[in-house]
Amino acid sequence: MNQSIELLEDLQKTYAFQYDLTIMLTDEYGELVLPAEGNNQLCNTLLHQDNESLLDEIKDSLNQKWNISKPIVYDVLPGIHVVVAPVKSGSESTYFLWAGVMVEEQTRDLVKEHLHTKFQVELEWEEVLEQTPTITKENRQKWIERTNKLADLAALCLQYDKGTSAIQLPTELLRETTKYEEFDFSELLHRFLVHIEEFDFLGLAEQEKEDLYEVTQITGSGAESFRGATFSPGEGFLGRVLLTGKYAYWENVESDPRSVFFRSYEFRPKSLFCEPIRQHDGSISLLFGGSFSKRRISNEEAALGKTLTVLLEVSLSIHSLRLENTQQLNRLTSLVDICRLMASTPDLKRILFILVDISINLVEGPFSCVIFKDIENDKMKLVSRGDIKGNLGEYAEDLARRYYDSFAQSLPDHQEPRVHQINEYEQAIECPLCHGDDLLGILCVGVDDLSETQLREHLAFLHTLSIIGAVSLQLAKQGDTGGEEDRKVEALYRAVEQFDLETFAVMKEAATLTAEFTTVMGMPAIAARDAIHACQLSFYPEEFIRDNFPGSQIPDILSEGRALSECRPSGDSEDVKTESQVFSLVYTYVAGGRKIEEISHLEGTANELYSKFVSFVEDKQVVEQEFTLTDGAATGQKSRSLEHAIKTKVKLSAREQEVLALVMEGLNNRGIAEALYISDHTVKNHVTKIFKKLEVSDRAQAISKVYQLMYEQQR
Amino acid sequence: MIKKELLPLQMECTMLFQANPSVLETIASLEERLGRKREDIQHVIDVLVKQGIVEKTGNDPVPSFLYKKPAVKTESDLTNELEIL
Repeated sequence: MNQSIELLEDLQKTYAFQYDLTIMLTDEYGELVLPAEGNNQLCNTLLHQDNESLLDEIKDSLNQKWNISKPIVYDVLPGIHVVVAPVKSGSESTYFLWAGVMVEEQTRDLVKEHLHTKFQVELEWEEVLEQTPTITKENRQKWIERTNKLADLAALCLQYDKGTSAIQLPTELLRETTKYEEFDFSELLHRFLVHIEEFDFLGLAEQEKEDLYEVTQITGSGAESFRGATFSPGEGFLGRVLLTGKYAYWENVESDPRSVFFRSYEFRPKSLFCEPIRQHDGSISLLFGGSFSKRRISNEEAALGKTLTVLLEVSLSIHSLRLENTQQLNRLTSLVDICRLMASTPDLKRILFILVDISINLVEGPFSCVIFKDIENDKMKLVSRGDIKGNLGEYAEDLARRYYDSFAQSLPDHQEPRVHQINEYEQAIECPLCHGDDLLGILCVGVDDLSETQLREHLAFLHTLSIIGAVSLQLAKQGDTGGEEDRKVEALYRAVEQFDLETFAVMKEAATLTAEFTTVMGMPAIAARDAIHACQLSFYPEEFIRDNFPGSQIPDILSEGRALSECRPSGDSEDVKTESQVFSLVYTYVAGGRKIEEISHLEGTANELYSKFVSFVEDKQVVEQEFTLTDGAATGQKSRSLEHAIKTKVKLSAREQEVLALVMEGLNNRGIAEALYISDHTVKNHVTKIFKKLEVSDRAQAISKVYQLMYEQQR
Repeated sequence: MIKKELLPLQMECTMLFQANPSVLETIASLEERLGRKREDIQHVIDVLVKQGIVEKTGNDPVPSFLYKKPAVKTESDLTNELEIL
């Protein structure tokens, strides 16, 4: 409770005790604002009656919508009088001060009789009435004046309190509007309107087309008809503000000829303000508000309106920035997912398709294309989507000439994306795909009319996409040159099968395990391939491999890996390749009969990788052991049982069943996303839904629940 | 025009179609696969059709969509030809 209200309470007590009255303050509906104070026994007794108490009578009487401007003496019950005074708070009389009660000397007996009849309770009404002040012609005016004075003091106190809230209000509203993630503009306008007493409506007009504005938001009783109204800059009151760009305020609006526009929408304001708001995206919107009943808005309310406009502008900016931030983060996350996919896909065609499709996704332009130089036959390849009015081929030739020209390549900024004007009407963002100093190709995306902000945003995203695209293309090219190497590795690997089946079985198992482990680790495709090849060629001496695979990493992996396994130093032991560590761990583990203790000596040299491998092997064992729990030889039968159990007991969708099956195989979200070609986000969605349906909170519980269901099914 | 908040879903759909170029998808099948709202999927597919990334196939009452591969053109030594020009 603030100081002004405390002061009002003190005044209430002083007056009450001084004049033997009970005094209270209610709002316009009879709800107590300040509870009753005073020792007027009749008043207090009547207030405390269970049924038809004095307060009920007051509420009933206020239902008649009183319109009093000065104190009156009111018969709250027959013969029982109370002085009631309106308390002006601001421009409206929204409170009533009640002071009473009194009776007339000549009617005391009648009142006593009436009270007995009405309340039918064992009360000494006579005694109570004896202590009740008597109202006479002489003192009647005095009662009225005293109550009026107290009402004036109460009004002052309430005004002061309101003034203080007017200062606090903007801070509170700002805090409130920025607190929530969800943004409801109409709710915000409504909240503001509630706090500006003299205003009957608030609205917002936004740009719909180049020269057309529309009232998109409006709040206030009787204002709804104005929603959807359209106007041009310069037209009427609101259009004028678009031209001047400044706050404007009008009085006596209904007598201004420009109000015809409002009347055509059954919208009849008498006073109006309008303030331009600059939105975060640079567009201008108009906030307007006013009154249907007042020709003039007080300076205080107008100032509060202006303050709230600023607040609204700030709130809009905060929400707009918050929204943009979330959207950028989502776009970036998607882009990272796509880049990761490209980097782990050593498939030239797929990378080119991704570049073309994702760039048109991002920019939504008329075309996108990549020109790419095929080193094997020195031919240019054009992968495209969309067209430039049938001239895409011509543009591609011009592009190739500009970028593959030696002079262009020598420019210091030749790796930066740029905007190129194709002809009078069309332009494109061109992003060179460079690896070191090599120009692998150019990604181009047609752009329509874009704002500077949009263009800057697209340039940044396409730049990122082209950098990763270039790295992926380089990896894919290296993969392509490995075609010959693959064939040779396969031949030598198969040869072992002919004369040493036992070693071949170890090599095969090690290669399979390496493939699985490197996938789980997310190892780059080329490095993973070399580690697998090392397993497949582990039968042969390093020198033999070095002679047959000049320039390849495989002999180094064999050499380093074997040195690690045998705990002997190999050159610079500080810098052992990850592929060599993987080879050493996997091969030693498989050759040692799949026992963890066989690789324990590698813990020191490949500590981090060792932990990951041990965890990977243990997870694999757990999954395998769990599958051996059920009887029956056919795995198909088990999976059918699993499927049936899930279908009948949990009601998972087909897709959720697929995801759950992969969860059961021990795949993490990333692994599932890659297996099903969906994003991590979607996998997470599915997994969350599965957990919810299974009523579990983690993977371990989910697996356990599924086996429990299977067990119940079999019983 | 794609709503900004739907761009990640649009990219996801693009990659899904691209990874399964011969698979026909309906709005309902995508809804189940991706676990997203039907109206969002519908909006994204409309944009992908407009961008030429997917195409509507057949005249079934329930439309199916298929990935449309980008155009690929190989020029024999494009730069040399340009030099001749």
